[in-house]
Amino acid sequence: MSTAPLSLFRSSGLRQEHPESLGDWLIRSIALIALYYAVGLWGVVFTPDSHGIPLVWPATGVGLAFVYLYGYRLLPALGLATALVLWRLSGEMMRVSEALGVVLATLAGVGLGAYALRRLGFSAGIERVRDVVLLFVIGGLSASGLAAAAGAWGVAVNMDELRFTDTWWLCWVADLMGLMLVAPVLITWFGSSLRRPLDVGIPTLVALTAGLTLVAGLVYSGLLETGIAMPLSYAVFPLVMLAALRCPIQMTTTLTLVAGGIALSGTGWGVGPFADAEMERSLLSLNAQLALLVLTGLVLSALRSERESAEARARQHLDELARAGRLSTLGELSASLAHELNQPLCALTSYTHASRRLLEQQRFEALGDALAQLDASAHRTAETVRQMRALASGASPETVAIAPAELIGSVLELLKPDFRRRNVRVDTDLAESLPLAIAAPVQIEQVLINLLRNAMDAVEGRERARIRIAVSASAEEILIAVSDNGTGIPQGRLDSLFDAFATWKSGGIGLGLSISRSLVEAHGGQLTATNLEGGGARFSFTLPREAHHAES
Amino acid sequence: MPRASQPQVYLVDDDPDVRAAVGLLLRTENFQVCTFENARGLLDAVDEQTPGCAVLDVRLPDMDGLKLQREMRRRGIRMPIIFITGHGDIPMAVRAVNDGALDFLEKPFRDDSLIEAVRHGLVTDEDQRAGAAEMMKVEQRLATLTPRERQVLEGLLDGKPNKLIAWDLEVSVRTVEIHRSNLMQKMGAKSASHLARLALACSDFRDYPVSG
Repeated sequence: MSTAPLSLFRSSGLRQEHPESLGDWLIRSIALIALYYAVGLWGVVFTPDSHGIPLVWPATGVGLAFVYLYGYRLLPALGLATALVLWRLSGEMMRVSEALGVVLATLAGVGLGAYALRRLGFSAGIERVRDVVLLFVIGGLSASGLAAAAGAWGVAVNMDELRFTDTWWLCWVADLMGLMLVAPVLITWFGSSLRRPLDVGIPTLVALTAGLTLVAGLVYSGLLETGIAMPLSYAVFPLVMLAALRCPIQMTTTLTLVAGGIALSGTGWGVGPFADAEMERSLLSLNAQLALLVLTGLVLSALRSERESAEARARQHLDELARAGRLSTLGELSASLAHELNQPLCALTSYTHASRRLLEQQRFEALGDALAQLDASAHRTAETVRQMRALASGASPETVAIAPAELIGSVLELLKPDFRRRNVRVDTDLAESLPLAIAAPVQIEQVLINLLRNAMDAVEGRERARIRIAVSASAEEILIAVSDNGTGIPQGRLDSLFDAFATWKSGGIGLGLSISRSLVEAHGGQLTATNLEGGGARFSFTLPREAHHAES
Repeated sequence: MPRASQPQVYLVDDDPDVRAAVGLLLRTENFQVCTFENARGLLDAVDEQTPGCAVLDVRLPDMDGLKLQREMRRRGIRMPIIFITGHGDIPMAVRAVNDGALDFLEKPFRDDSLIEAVRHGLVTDEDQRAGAAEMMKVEQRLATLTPRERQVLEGLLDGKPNKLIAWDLEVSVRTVEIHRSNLMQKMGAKSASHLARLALACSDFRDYPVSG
């Protein structure tokens, strides 16, 4: 099908955005009459000789689909089409008043059905199981129900030997079956857009259609024995299921129509596995199979759409979460940057203000001291900014293989005055013959300094204050742990300890634990904190170790 | 060296640079400054008698500044508090001031604003202290009244004339007059209205329903 004539049938009746032009209305009306008349004639094929009731009547489905898609303005055309078919079938046998009754009942049934579908939020894409149920319940209750009543009445009037209820039942089954086959095709093709890009390629679609046509054609060709043809008739199920799971809904509805059309035509002409018994029984059992086929295809397709939209929602939710996470990290970072810069700025401006006052007071000696302090403070600030830049640039550190003892030794040397001043005892516990660590020494020293400073703060004022540095190695990594016998980490801070905002101490190290963790993670290690039983806390981090080629 | 009687500025900030710099700035204005790196240090150094004012960083290593403020109030330390913060946290500033903080300055601040705030803090502290001392004196005097004199005082605060007080207490008007002159003397009141003012300022009588 080319898209140019199709675009005319893109349903505008569903959403009254563009007013339908007279030309559109005329063309749609003619299309409805033509299609209705054609499938009406096709339905005649399935009319057993015993009584005049067609066993499949797709015309009602065509009417329902058109009125649902293009609005109630097509009802006159539907009435005309119904009258035409009646005239063609019954000829002069039917009185005008009776014919009028049948037409009106059909119009009422279809109009009510279309109204209910629109009102109850039926979606033309049949994306939900709810849509499948709606289509067939409403189709079965109103459209087929009323149309069948009209048809049954029309037939019963003509053939006195048939009781109205029997006739009605047969007409209803025929109407509903026809509706199940044709309405989904029309509604999905013209009421909803084809989803692009297609999940499967055009060759697959062609192969699927060809395969189904071939199988159905073979089954209903009359060439096979019933014993083979009957089980083979179920071969259309996997093909339709495949289409439902892989292809757009339009493909599924079309395939079921193709399968159903071939099966019905064959059986109607007396060939194929269902054609053995008398026509009424055979068609009813075929109808049951086809109804299952349609339901299988539509329900599977709807389930797949539901799952896909649920997945899309979940994905969107995850994306939003991730974005929120990034934003909040950014917010925290900028807040803590503001803090990190405001602290030294406060010190610098205070030194400046003090210097000016000392100058005014002509206290030159004090002024000299103040300026020296200002200078030192400015340099510390510059160092902080440098560290933040190094962190922000995210450059992976230049690593070397270095003995853990060397790292720790240099840091302890650096901090020795602090330990002495604060009266803290420091023990080191290095496992024997440790492998070399792969690390950027300056960065890991910063981490160690930060952890040791924190530990010193934690044991501040405590008798027999102790800090212990332990180093051990596993097959993959080196573990460095700094523990203290201080106050421990307050309950409730353990979780937020490493957040950018939660710096405890800033004594020139920068962002404290947050930076330390970033540095350790840049090495491919992990920095964790726990409280020790019996008081104190332990911060430990891992570093990759040099490949142990010596042992192997 | 700090002396207990001399008003001090108590500066608490965990950043040693900020402590040193702000401390130096305040000293150039001849304030006596004590610095601490955490809340614990301040709480150990001051009590309800200590004159002075506090300059607190909002974020301290052991206790957040607002909690420290509440803890100081709980201990009866009423010295004015000026908060300084590097975070520019407006909701926190509002809460601090609602809790009775004198001022809230954002780092980096202008030297004038800090010095002005500290000066204001010390004056406020002095006023509070003077008022409290005055009240203490009156309360001490109130305690020297005999039960009878106290009953007469209550009658006077009720706005009753001597005759009515005498009737209520079932004594002579003359006796009431004697009690009245005694209690005026004891309270150091120059007139009846002065007496009423003094008495009502005391905690015993602060909520006394004054009629007429």
